[in-house]
Amino acid sequence: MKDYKDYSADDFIGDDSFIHWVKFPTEGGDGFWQTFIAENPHKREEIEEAIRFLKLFDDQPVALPPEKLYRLHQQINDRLDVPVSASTVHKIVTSRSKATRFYSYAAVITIALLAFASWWQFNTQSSDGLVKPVTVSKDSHAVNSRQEHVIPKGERSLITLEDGTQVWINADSKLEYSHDFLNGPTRDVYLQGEAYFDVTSDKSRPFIVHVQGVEIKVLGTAFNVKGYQGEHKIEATLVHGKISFSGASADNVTLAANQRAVFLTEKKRLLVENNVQTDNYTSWRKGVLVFDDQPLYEILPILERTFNVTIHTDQATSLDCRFTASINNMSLDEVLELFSTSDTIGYTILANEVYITGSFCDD
Amino acid sequence: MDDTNTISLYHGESALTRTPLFFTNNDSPADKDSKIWNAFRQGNREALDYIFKEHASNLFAYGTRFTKDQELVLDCIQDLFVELWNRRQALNETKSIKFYLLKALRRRIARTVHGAKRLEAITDEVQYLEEKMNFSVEQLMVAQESDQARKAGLRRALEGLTKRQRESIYLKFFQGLNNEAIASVMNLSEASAATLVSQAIAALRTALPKKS
Repeated sequence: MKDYKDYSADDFIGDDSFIHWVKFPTEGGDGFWQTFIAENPHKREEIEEAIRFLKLFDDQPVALPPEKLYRLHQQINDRLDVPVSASTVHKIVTSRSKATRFYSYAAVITIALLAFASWWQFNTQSSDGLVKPVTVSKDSHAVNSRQEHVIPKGERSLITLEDGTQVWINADSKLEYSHDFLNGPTRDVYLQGEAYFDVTSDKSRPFIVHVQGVEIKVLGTAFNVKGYQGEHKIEATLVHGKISFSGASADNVTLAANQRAVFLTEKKRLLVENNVQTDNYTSWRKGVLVFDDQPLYEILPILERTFNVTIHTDQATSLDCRFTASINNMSLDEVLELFSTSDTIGYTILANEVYITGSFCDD
Repeated sequence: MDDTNTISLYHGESALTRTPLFFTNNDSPADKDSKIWNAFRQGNREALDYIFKEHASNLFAYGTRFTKDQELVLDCIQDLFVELWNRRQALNETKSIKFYLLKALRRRIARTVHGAKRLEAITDEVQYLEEKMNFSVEQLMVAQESDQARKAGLRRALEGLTKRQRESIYLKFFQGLNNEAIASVMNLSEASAATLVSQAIAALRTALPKKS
């Protein structure tokens, strides 16, 4: 124990325990200094001088607005949600030589991404010209010589295109294609939301999925694509075959089979995950939802789409609470019951609104 | 989770597991940090979320002392968390997450701002880069002082400190680090850190005479 009885004001100012007591009062402390002052009235003046000096310094840091903090957290999570193994190319490769090296792999997906500048150009073009907002309709019908399938929340659908390609369209999603789908040099479809494609092979006419400004080019294969507006990412999970993920650039990376690619649209960053359980990403077709250690802020939007509800929570903080779950063709009521037995939450369903009370992860 | 959960696939029964956290409110700050850090090292994503929420704002406050480029600081924090996660199994134990992160962010900003090309810079090189970082005196003071003359005197005194002295004072008074931690963050010997701190305090005290 230091002999604080001999301390001067300067000594107190440099003492870590004293600094903590003055500068971090919220951290509690054990009452040592209160006792010391009470027992050593002759030190009072030195101590008051030291306190006065330390309190002159007031930190006024550059504040980080909550919305920026939240975005930062999401960006980190987005990157971590796709673990990248050391052997995998994990960023957009900008040099041609690196790219060509990877072409030699057999059975590969080629992912080509446009450069930063051309990205925006393309993105702008596509939102201006290609994917126009259209009226929601349950059934397919023609709009300006385009065929469209709009699947509302709470439903999913299987359609067969004229070339025999099967498309499972998830809730809250839209698939469009032009009337000359069968006659052009390529088979182009435009997706908002999520769909699973089992494409009929036709090597002379590539099949192209346009999603959020990205093109996924296909010869014959089965794969899942997810690109909801406002989610800042586009995911493609390949079950088998070969796809290329492109904008308009020559920059390429090449990937092995059974992989999932995620393109983070804000950071222009491409992430690739190896050896994925593709079932986890395609089981929605069979009414099964799989969550692998995912936070509620990712899970709740999926439940909202699947069950056509809006979910309200009263504890924003618990949205980070993570769950691993597989939900096999359950009703909304059964799903909420599953969550409420795991955590001390209550819920009320009023028509299309769900109110969750209490907090998750409250140990 | 690397160690506990396996997912049941869709053809099985419906199931749900929640990822738990690994500390109690009765733990001391050091024990709590230790436990959270160990959970992080074992791949617990809630530990990462917890660490982010506890420390991100403070890391931003620290980082913006070195550069006005806020986006650069945000990018460095993002990369820092991602890299820590990807290297989690190789990380050492720590009893102070705050200190660990401050040190890591400082090195990262030094490399980013001054453009070190190599990922694994040798210590001397990092030290050299850090020498060039400018620890800003702006907003580092002065509260609750109505006496304008004292205020101006203290501000002049702060500006008169070397940037290393300023940073040592910042780490001591605002981050609550002891000399050992300051030495580690700033890549100094503990004796040098102690000297920096005591010189800085002495200079400030001289500039600000005791009140009569």
